[in-house]
Amino acid sequence: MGRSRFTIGPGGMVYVIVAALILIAATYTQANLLYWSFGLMVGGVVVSVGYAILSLGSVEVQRLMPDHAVAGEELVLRYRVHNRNRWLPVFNLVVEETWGRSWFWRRRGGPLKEVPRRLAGAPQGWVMHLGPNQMVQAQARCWPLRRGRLVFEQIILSTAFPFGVIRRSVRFHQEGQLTVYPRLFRVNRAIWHRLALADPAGHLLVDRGGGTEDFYGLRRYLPGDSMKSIDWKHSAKIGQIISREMTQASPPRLMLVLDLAGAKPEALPSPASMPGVDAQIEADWDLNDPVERAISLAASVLCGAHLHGYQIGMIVLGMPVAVFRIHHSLPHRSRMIESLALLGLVDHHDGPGHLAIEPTMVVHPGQTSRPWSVRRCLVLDARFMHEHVRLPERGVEELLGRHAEVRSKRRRLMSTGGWT
Amino acid sequence: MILLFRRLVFVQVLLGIMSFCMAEQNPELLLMAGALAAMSWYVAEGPTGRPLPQWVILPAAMAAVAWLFVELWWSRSQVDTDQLVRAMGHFTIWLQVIQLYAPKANRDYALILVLSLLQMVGACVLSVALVFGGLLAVYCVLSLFTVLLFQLKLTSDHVLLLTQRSAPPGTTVERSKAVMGRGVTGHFRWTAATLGLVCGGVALVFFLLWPRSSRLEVNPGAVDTGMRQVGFSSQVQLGVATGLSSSNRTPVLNMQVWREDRKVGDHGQIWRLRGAVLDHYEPTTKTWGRGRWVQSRDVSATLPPSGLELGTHPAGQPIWQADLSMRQSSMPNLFTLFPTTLVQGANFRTLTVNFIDQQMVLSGHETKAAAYRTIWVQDRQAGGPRTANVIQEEADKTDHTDYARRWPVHRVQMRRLVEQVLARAGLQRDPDALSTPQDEQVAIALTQFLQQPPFVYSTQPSSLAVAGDPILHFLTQGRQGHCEVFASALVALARSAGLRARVVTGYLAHEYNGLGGYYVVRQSDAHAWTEIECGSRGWLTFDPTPTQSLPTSAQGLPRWLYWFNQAYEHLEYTWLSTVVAYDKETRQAVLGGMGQSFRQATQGQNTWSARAIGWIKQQIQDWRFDLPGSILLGVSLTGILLALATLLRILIKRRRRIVALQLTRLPTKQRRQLARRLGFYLTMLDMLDRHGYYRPAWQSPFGFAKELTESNPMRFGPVLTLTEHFYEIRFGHRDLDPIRKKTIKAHLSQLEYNLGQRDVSPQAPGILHQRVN
Repeated sequence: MGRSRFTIGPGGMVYVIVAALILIAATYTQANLLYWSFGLMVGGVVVSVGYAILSLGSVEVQRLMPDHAVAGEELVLRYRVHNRNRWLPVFNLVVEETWGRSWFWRRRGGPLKEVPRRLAGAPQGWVMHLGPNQMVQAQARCWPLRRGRLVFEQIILSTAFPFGVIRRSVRFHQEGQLTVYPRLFRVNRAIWHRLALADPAGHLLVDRGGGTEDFYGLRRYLPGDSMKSIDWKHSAKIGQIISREMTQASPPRLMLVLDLAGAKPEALPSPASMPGVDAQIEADWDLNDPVERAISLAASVLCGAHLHGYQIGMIVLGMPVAVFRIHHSLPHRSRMIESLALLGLVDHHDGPGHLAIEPTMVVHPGQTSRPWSVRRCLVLDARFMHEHVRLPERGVEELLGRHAEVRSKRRRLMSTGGWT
Repeated sequence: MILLFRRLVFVQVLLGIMSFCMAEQNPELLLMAGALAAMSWYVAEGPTGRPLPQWVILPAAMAAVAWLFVELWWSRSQVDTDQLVRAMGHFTIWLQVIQLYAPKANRDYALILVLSLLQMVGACVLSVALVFGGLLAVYCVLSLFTVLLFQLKLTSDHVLLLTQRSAPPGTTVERSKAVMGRGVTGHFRWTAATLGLVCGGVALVFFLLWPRSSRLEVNPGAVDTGMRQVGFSSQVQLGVATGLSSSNRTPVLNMQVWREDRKVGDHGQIWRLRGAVLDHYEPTTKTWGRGRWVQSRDVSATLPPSGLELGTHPAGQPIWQADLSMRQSSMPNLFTLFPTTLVQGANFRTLTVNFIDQQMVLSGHETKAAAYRTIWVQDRQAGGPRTANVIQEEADKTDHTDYARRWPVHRVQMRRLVEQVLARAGLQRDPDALSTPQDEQVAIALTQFLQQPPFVYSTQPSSLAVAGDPILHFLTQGRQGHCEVFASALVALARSAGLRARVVTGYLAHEYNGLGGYYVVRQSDAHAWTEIECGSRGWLTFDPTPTQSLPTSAQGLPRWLYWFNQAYEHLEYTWLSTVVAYDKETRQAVLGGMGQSFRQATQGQNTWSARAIGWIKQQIQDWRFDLPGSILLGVSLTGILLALATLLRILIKRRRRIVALQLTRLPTKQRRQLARRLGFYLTMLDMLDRHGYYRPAWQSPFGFAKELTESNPMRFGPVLTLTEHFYEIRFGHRDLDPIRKKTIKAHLSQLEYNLGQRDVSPQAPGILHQRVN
C-alpha cells in the first residue's frame, strides 16, 4: 500500500458551515436541543475521521488490463479490490487512475495530475460496497484518443463515506501498459470490389495438388490416401490403384504499402525527445494529421481484409518497420496492427530499400514517394478518408477536425454523374 | 438506491414540516403545507409524474421570498427571536415544497436537506416538548440514512459525470450497475447503526461537557394567546384587565411526600405549596403585597446541617416530610407546606426567613435551583401544635395587634355584607374582638359563601375591569373571577368580620406520577388561597375558589389510559429535567457528581473498588509463602493463565474455521465436528495463499482445484485430491478415519514440497487469482 492522505472536500466545508450555524444558534438561544444537534454533528466529524482511518487500511487493489485497446473505442479497465479487514465493510469506494507526482496537491476538481493525452480523462470506477474479507471486481471506462502505448502508473483508492466530510485516499504504485491500436473504421464495400478487380493474380486456386477443390490430376496411390480419392475406373483400367488429386483453394491476397516516404520529415512521427518521459506523451497527433489518417486507414483496411479472408501483408515506406509477408492468421494481423500502433514510438529495424513484392494496395497521406500505377494496384489517399471508410454518423467533425474537407457521396455523384 | 434516497428525502421533508408546525402549534399550516408536499410525490416523483417547469418554479420561489418580507413587515412591531424564527420557518417550508415539485439535481437535493435541517433548528428554538423531542430523534435517524445514501449517490453521479466527460462526443454513457459485495443491506444497516450510536455517544459527551450560560426560561408548548400566563407571583395585582391562560406547562418543581419514611402519593390528592404570604392590600394600585411591619421581621438565617427549626413538632404526631427540587434557578421563593417545623437545604446554606408568616426566600447570592426538605404538621388538633411561629407571633401581637386584621376599602358595605352572610349561617361576630370560639365556623361560613353560586370561577378579565374596587365589585355585582379574586374576597370578608386573614400564593401539587413516585408541579398549577387565624388553632388554610375549578383526579380514566398518561408524564418529566433543563448549574452538578464518584471509587474507604483493593492487599500480607511455595503459586497462576489463553485461542480459532468453511448455518454439534475434520482444507488454502494462490469467495473449491490443476498438473495435483477428500467429508458424511488422515497428511506434504520447488512451467492465463505481492 502506498501513501495515504486525508482531505476535506466541498461537502465537508458545507458540513462545517452548517455545524457552525447550529452552534451560533445554540449559543444565542441556549436551547439544549440545538446543543444536542451540534453534538451530533461533532459526532459526525468524529466518526468520519475514525472511519477514514480504519476503512482503507486493509484494502488492496490490482489492475486487470486487456492486452490492447482501440483508439476511439471504449476501454474497460478492471480492478480486483480486496478488503482484508475481518470486521469493517467499506462503502463508496472510488478507484481512480493517476499519473505523475503531483497527486498530493489536490485541486477542487480532483488531483492535479497529468492525464496522458491519449485519454480525455482519468478512468474512474466505483464500488458501492465491499464487505469484510470480500473481493469484488470494479471497472472503469475510458476512451483512448490516439494510438500508441498507454502506460498506467498509479491507482488511487478513496472514500468519503459516511458523510462526505473527510476523504481518505490511498495510492498504490502499479505500473502497466497496453497498446492502443489506431482508430479503426469499417471500409466501404466499394474498396473490396475495386480490390478484387485490381488483383493482378485474379485466381482463387493454386495450381498445385493437395487440396479439395477442383480436379488437378491422377497419380499412384500412396499409403495414407483417403479411400474416397481412389479413382476406381482408372485403377481398373491400369491394374493398379490410382488416386485422384484435387487443387488447393487460395484466398485473395492483399499486400498493402503504407507510403509515408513522401511526407515531410517533420510530419512523420518521431520517438520521444525528452529524456525520462514516456513516448506516449509525445504522440500528440490526431486525425487532422494526414499521416495519422493514413495509418488509421491502413489499419482499417488490414482488419477489414482479414475479416474478408484475405491473406495480408504490409510494407511501410519511410519508416523503419519490418516487412510483414503475406499470411492469414489472427496473430499475424495483430502484429501488423501493433506495428502500426507503435509506429514512430519504438525503434524497429531498417525498412526495405526496394519492394520485392508487387503491392495490391497503396495508402499514402497525400504525398507519395513514387508514382503508383493505379492500374496495377489500388491507391488510397488518406486525405479523402471519408470516401474510403464509413465514419460514425455523429461526431464526424470532431473526429476529422473542424477543417476536414467533408464531401458526401451524394455531392460527388451530383458533380460527376456517377461512381468513379 | 436512488429511489430509496428519493423516498427518504420526501419523508424527511414531510417530517420536518410536521415537526415545525407542531412546534409552532399551527395546524392550518401543517394541513396546507403537508398536503402540498404529499401531493408532490404523485405529481413530480411518481411513475407517471413529471416535475413542473422552471417558469412555474421560479415565480413560486420569488413569491416565497416576497412572503418572507411581508411576514416580517407585518410583525415589525413585535419582532423578537421567536417571530423571526417563525417567519424563516414558513419561508423554508414553502421553499421546500416548491423544490419538491421542481426537477432535482444533486445540488437541489442538498438544498432541500439543508433547508430541512435549518427548519428543524428553528423548531428546536420554538419548542422543547417531548413530542417534538421524539420527532427530532426520528428525524435524526432518518437524516443519517438519507445522508449516507446521498453520499453514495453523489459519488456515483460524480464518477458517471467524469466518465461521460471523457467519452467521445456523441457517445452515450449509461450508469453502470453498482458493484457491491455480499450482504450489502445488512452491512449498511449495521454500519449506519454503529455510526448513529457513536454520533449519539459523542453528542452526549458534548452535551454534558460543553460550557454554557444559565438557562433561559423554557416554555414547552406555550402559545402566545395575548393572555397573561398562570404562574407564581410574589404579589397579586387585581386591576389587570387581561385574562389568564393556563397553557404554560413548564415544570417548576417536583416533590416527593413521605409519611413516617413511607412514600405517599395519589393522583388528585392536593398539596398546597405556599411561596408568598401577602398581608397588605393597597387600594390605589389594587395590589396585594407584604406589609412593612412583616418585612421588618425578615431574618437572614444560615441553615445548619441538621436544618432550620421553625417550630417544635408536637409529640405523637406523624412526621410528614417533603423533598422538593426546584427546576428553575430564577425563582428565589422556597415553597413549603404549612405549618413548617423544619427546613433542610441540600444545596444552599443561607436564606431569609420570616417567623410570622413562614415565608422563606433564598438569599441574593444563592442562584441555584434549590433542593430541600421540609417537615410539617399535617393534622393539627385544637391546641395541639405549638409551632415557633405561633410563639413568635403571640409575642409580636403585643406590638402590632392590627397585623392582617383591618380592611381598608368600603368598610361599611363590606361589614354589612359579612353580617348578612353570617346571619344566613346563624352566626355573628364582633369585629373588634381579637378572637372568639366561633372563629373557625365564621371562616368556614364565609368560605362556603364564596364557593356557592352565584359565584363562578372565570379567567376572563371582565369582572376586574372596573373603575372602583374590584373586590367589592366581585362580591356585589361581577361574581366571576379567578383564584386571586376569590382569595382576596375571602380575606376582605374575614377581615371585615374581625379575623386575621392573608392571601397566600403558591402551587397546587396534585399531578402524581406513579412511575416516578413524585408530584410534578407546573406553572399552570399556580394558585392563590387564604389563611385565616382561628383562635387557639392558629392559622388555618381556607380555599374559597369553587371546587369545580380545582384539578380533578385522573382516576376516572380507563386503566390503560391512566397508565399511559402516567408513563407519558414521567417521560416528559425525564425529558425536561435531563435534556431541556440542563443548564450551567446542572452541568456543574453532573460534573461534580462524576468527580466525586471517581474520587470515592479511587480514594474512598467503603466503595467496592477500595474494598477489593484492600482485600487483595490484605491477602498478600496474610499469605506469607516461602520460596518453594511462592514458585509453586507462580507456576500455578501462570499455568491457569496459559490454559485460559489457550482455551480462548481454541475457541477463536474454531470460530474462524467455522466462518471460513461457511458452516455457520449448521447445527452446533455438526458444525463443530466438521470444523475439526475439515481443518486440513484450510491448511491447504493457507499453504496456497502463502505462495500467492488465493481462492476468491465466489469460486467453488472444485473450480479452484480444477483451475490450478489444469494450469500445472504436476505441481497442483494434490490440491485436486485434497479437494475430493473435502467434498467426501463435507457433503458425503465420511469419517476422518486413520487411513484417510494418513492420506491427507501425505498429500499435504507433497503439496508443500511442490510449492517449494521453483515453478518453471508457463503460467496459465486462466489463473487469475495469483496474488501480486
